[in-house]
Amino acid sequence: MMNERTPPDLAARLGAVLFALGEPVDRERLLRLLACTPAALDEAIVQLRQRAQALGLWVIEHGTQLQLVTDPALAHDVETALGGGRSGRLSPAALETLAIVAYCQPVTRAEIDALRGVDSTAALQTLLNRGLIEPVGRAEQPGAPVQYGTTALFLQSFGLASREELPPLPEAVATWLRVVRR
Amino acid sequence: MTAARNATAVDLSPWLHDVTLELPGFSGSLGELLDQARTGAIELAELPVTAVLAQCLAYCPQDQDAPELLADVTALAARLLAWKARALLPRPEKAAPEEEANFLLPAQLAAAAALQSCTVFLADRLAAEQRAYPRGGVLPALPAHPQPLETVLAPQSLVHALTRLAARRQPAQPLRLRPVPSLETMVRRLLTRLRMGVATFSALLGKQASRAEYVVGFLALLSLIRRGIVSVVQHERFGDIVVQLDQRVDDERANTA
Repeated sequence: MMNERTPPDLAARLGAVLFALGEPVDRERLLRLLACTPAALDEAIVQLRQRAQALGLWVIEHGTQLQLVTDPALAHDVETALGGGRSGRLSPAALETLAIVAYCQPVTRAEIDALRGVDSTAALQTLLNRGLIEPVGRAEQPGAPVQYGTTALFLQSFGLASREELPPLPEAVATWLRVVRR
Repeated sequence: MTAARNATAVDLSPWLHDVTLELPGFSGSLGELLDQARTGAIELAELPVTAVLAQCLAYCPQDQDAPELLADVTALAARLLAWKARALLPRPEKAAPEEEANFLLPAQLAAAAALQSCTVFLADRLAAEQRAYPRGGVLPALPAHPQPLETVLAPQSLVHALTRLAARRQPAQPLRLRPVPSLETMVRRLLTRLRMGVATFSALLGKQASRAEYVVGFLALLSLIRRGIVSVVQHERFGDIVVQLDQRVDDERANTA
């Protein structure tokens, strides 16, 4: 008797595509590849998240991009398999700057400086070199300064599924940011 | 403080007070006009001062000497001009209330303190070492420095590309440079043309002279001036140089030769 397989559903196809590509994939590209509607894709993502968890995998969402990665809880096993973990040390200044970018993105260097009260050029350069932040646009103000945002690598490095997993922005920071941007 | 509030009462003679005015948007006595201006009922910036004064002067008796009345009108004119000038001046920016100024520093300190909780959250996540790895275990990272060109293109490819580019940019016809005359040749040429009656430096060189010929020609001219064979005059700055051959010296040189 032949073993009949049920045709793969959208979640399985999505998982296969994300696994094969390995890198962050834009939703628009996924919609084209899978020939489905945005609502169907959203539903497939939810299903894939549940199934992936059983396999020690995660679906992270960086803006409009999706990526299949290993579960952060299994980082030790993965790092052992890979032959040692990555150095994740960041200076307090870089960490503080990264927190501002993560919470207030898109944010300009001047706004970061105003929040920290000190010059953040070096810290920003460190984060850019580490690939944790990236230029995401330009502010509509005199000089059109570059705005920074976090990258998919930021989510991977901090074991976050999406930016929504960050605790809510403290009201004091939001208030000061409004004052700075006024 | 508004311009209207700046307007103070004007002491008018009873006669001037009752002068009737017909202005755009106002009809009444001068006293009423000034009262409304003082209370802000009419816009001082829109007040036609010349029309007010013209109508006041029209009421002044022409056939008798009335210096006090004219002095009143003059004082009124000065006051109206002062009010209108104040009304037209740009208003200074509204100063930030003291409460707002006092709010800024505590707000920044509160933001800095609150930001610490965000930083601590990230630091804890980092310390937990719970990183997610993509397939293959290679975390995508931006290069710290731009990729050197030699790693992108082989040197031989660059040489081929430059050769092709140079071949494309080669002019269709070889460039022919006009030979530059020597200083001695130029001196002779200038003297010949001067004897023919040519009188300006540009005419001596001709319309087709190249930049190099101009340079050599100017050096030749300086040489002729130094030797006292020619004298030059320039009537205006950057104007043409009028060259005059000293006939006496030229004749002597011709005889010597």
